[in-house]
Amino acid sequence: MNKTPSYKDAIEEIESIVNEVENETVDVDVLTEKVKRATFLIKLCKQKLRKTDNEVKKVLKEFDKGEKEEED
Amino acid sequence: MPEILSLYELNQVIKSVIDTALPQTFLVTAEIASLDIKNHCWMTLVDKDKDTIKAEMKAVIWADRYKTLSVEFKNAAGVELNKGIKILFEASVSFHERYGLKLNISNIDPSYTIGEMAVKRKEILERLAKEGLKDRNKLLEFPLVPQKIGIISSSSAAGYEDLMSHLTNNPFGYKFYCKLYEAAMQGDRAEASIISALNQCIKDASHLDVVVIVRGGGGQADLHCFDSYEIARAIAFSPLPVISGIGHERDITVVDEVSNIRVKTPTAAADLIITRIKDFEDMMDELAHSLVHGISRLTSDLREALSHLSKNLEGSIRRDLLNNNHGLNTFIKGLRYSLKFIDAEIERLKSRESNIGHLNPVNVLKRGYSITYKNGKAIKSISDVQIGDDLKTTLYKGELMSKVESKKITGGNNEQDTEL
Repeated sequence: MNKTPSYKDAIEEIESIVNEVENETVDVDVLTEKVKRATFLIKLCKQKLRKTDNEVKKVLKEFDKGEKEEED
Repeated sequence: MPEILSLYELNQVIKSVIDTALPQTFLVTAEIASLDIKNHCWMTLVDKDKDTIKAEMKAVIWADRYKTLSVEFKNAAGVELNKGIKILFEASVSFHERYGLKLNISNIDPSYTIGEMAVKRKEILERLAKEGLKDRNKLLEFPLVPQKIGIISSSSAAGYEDLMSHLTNNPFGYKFYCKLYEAAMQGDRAEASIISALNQCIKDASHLDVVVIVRGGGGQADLHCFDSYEIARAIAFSPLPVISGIGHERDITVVDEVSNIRVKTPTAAADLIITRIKDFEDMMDELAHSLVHGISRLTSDLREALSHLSKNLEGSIRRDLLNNNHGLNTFIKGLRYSLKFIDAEIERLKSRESNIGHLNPVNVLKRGYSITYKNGKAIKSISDVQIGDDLKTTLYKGELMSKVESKKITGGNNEQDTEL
């Protein structure tokens, strides 16, 4: 996976990794890699969410400002 | 033996016989074949069957009689005594020993000539109609603004002067380009000269709008030449509309009949031309007026429509804005909801993080466990190693390198033991 995965793909992969490592006997060698991958994906998702959160808040702030101006 | 007479004696006998036998006057009809005024009026009278002369005789009107008779005749008949006209006259037959037989005309009845001319005119008109020439010039469209005028007249004619002065001094200040095509307007030469002038006009047709034929004017004059088939034919073939302003009250000549427009006098011809131009100017004014009026009405209609439209537009924009506002609100609601979604997702990620954290071998190592590798593979049983193998042990912090000195089977992994 060279390309940065989409949020949806990333979260699906995270779910699948968690499911896999919790329910199956995973070799410690593989486990380390899986954990690393899941940690990376979680970090990525968090970043995406934070960015979206900021943007949404910015838009809402603009809108509130506009509404106030219209009332004046 | 008969008596021998001198010519004079014989003629005296003839004269006496005639004087005795024909003492009275006669009423006679004849056509004037030639006319020559040398103090007295000398004529040759003929009686024709079509073009064949059946009878011919000299006639004379003595000078004293001719003075009054010619004027009376001209005033009554509208034509002069001239070659080609038919007359009914009262005459006595006289014989002169030297000059022979002739008629002494004492009276001429103009009404006969009028009738004869009418018959001749009718015949010419019928012939023109039959040949399709009678209305040919009438069918030409009269120009809207006739300003270039060919005038067929005599430069000395009063009518020509009247026409020119009226055209030049018109009250509206219209300008005219007039060209005189000189022609004799009465007498023997009139017919040929009018035709020649007409042909000249036709040659110049590209520089002319109309042709006006005007005659001397004033009083009664000889209209005989205007009852001409040949002139009528030339008018019929003219590409220019012809106005006849020959100037007479009583009769309508053949030229009048075939012309595009007939007026009574040269002055009337000028008035007609000026009126046409005035009509055109008035029409233009009216058009301009109605154009301005129409445009102003159109403008006001448009303005009204525009205001109506702008009201509608305002309404529809307001509605659109309301709708859009509604849409925007929905969008904002969506955005606010998405924040909740983001929070929920962050929670979910945290929970996954903790799941992963529990499984992370690092956390196990933290508690004192370690992993031993041989050739990069984790060792789970002593059967995986031989004495003397090089091992690598990963601790929570750092790694240990070691060599296997001995192996010992511990409990809890019986399967592995039996394999040994």
